[in-house]
Amino acid sequence: MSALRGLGDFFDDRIGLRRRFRAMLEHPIAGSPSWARSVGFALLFLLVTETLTGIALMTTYAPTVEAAWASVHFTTYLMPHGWLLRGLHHFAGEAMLVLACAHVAMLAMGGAHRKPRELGFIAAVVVVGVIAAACITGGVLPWDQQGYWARRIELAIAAMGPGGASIARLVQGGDELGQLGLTRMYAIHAVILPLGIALLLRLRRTSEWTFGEKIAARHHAGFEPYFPRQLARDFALAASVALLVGWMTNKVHGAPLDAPADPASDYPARPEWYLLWLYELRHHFNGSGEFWGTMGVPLALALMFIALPWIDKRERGVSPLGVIVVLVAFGTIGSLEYLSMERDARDTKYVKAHHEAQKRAAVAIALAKHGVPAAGGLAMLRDDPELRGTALFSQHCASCHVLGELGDKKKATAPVLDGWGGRAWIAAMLHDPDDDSRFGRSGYKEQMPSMDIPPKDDTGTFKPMPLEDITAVAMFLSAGGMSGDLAAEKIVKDRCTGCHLFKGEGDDSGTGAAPELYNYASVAWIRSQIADPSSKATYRENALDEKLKHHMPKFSADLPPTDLDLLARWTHAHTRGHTL
Amino acid sequence: MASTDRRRVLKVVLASGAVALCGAAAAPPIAYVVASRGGSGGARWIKTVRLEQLPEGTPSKVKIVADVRDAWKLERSADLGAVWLVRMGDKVRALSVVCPHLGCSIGPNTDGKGYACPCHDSFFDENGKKQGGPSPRDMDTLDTRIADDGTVEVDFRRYRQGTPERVEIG
Repeated sequence: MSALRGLGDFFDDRIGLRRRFRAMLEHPIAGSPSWARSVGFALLFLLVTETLTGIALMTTYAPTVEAAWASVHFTTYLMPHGWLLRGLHHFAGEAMLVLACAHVAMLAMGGAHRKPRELGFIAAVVVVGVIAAACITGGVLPWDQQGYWARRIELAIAAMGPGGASIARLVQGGDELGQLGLTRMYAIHAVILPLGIALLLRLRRTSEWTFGEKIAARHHAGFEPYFPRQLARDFALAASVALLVGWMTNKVHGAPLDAPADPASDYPARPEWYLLWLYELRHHFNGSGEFWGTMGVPLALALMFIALPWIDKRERGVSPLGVIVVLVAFGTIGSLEYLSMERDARDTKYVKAHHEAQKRAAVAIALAKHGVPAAGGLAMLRDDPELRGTALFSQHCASCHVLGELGDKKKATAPVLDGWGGRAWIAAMLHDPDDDSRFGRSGYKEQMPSMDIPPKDDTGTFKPMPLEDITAVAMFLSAGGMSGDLAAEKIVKDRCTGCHLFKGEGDDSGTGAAPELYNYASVAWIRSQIADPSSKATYRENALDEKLKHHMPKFSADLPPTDLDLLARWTHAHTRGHTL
Repeated sequence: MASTDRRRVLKVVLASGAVALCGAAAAPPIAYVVASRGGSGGARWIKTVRLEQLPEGTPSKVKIVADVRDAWKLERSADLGAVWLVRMGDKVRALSVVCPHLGCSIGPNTDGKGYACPCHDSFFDENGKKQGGPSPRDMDTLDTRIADDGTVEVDFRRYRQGTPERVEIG
């Protein structure tokens, strides 16, 4: 203990630590202790939390468009405690925004803007804007869809106003949001804005404490020291806020991460929840009004508060004018927020698009756990065979075919491919080729006869294929005709190769339109069919005949060989209910 | 008297509060930074050159190329480092180029015999035995094997620097 005291004496003799500490505890606080005053301390506590968690996050963050998403993914999903850090940083930031708004409201209603506290009050108003800016610039750092698109739109709106183009260029480091924009917003978020918040909170405290000293000097009854009652409230509020932030972090398990930013996607962009009221405002303005609506209205609200010290003529007690201003401001924001959320909840198109975006995010997050290439998260998604296969099928095949969730059964003009080429599918095909899910809606309708239902013009010569033969043929062909089942092969040669080919032989009737059955629906067969259906390896020379309405086109000219390979592998896997 | 006691209790309570708040703000970031796990994993048995490409008895510096996972990044065919390979008939001797002193890249000695570190003048003979200079041990030898296709494979391990004993990293 005495060693500690000695150390204390050493510093006290040189920099007067104890005197400063005591002066702080005994500092006169005007009036009685209040919770409203504790908000300032809670903000300071959150700022410290943000600084510390921010520094820790900086140790695993890389502000480049290629690496940002991957590094935030690494932080969130692969680093021990990473989700906790990101969650705390995220929710402590939002808590600061909420607390700062509540602070301004309490000060305005309580009349804390009156002379000589104007500067402290204005600092409280301005800090709301600076904290919002910190949240906004922080949102772009993961370089995910949400952050990228929201910032891109906000900067576009800002650029519409007078001088806005120069400001947007300054923030982005150019005319478009890209690498320099990310790095600049990182610097603004991590250095400039925290400094601004710290200075404003300091200005606020200086103003309040000067006011306290004045009260103390004038009449002793109107003040009490900071310690213990105000200090206790400060600690209690800060602890409650810390618990709330921790609870939110645990509930959400971190902070959201969307799919990597994709400038080529049609992302249903919305701003973060605290900006939705501006998003709603934008709906009601057009042209240059977009700027004045979304930038002018918040500015007008802020000016209303800033003007309060000069327009409020009442000298003491609750400020009715302050109450009105608070009701107008928060009433406006609250009702616009409600309208916006309600609008989106009703918008089924948005809900669907949002759901799709979330699915893509989940896929990206799962993929990135195996590492992200140096080219970044977007390249990782682009080069993933499963995703690329899905994209190719959607683009080139799903307008006629149906497979899984792709394609529209009502508009399909080609077979449904789920289970295609499998045993059950072939058996069903032999029984009823013209079912809507097979040839029924395609150009091949009525091209293939049923094997066990007599044709309409049957003269009694039709011999239905027995069920065991159908089963044997289905088994044989679903194995590509390679199972070595000679009995089944004989049935195929007796009953099928009148029109079809088997190992290049058959088509005695010369239709030129019934496909090769050997290796049917294999990867190689599919590859060949996609490249050119009119090759002998698949649907044969008449496959592109104009008489076959909606016949399948050849893709060998449209798709590079690598895409043909991939699409064949992808389709083969998906027809069998697998993924790549 | 009672009032000073009460004040002391208050002081203790509020001091604990201050400690708790500091802890709440500081503990997660500290835990995060301490638990940091980046760096590349240990790549093992890496294919290098074909045996017949190595001249008998003369050291060749050969790059170690492999897929590497570094923090979030997955890099295909990245340059991980290099080894000195010396062919001795059907066998190959591999010496790590990393100097056991402070990790500089060991080059050939100017007299053409053995190896030398260009940073702090540690000298090694053609077998990697320490001849002079600050290095605390001989050059680190690595295991090699010849694959069926005739490629020399190296067991690419890394060792801590500055210790007289070999201590593997990772």
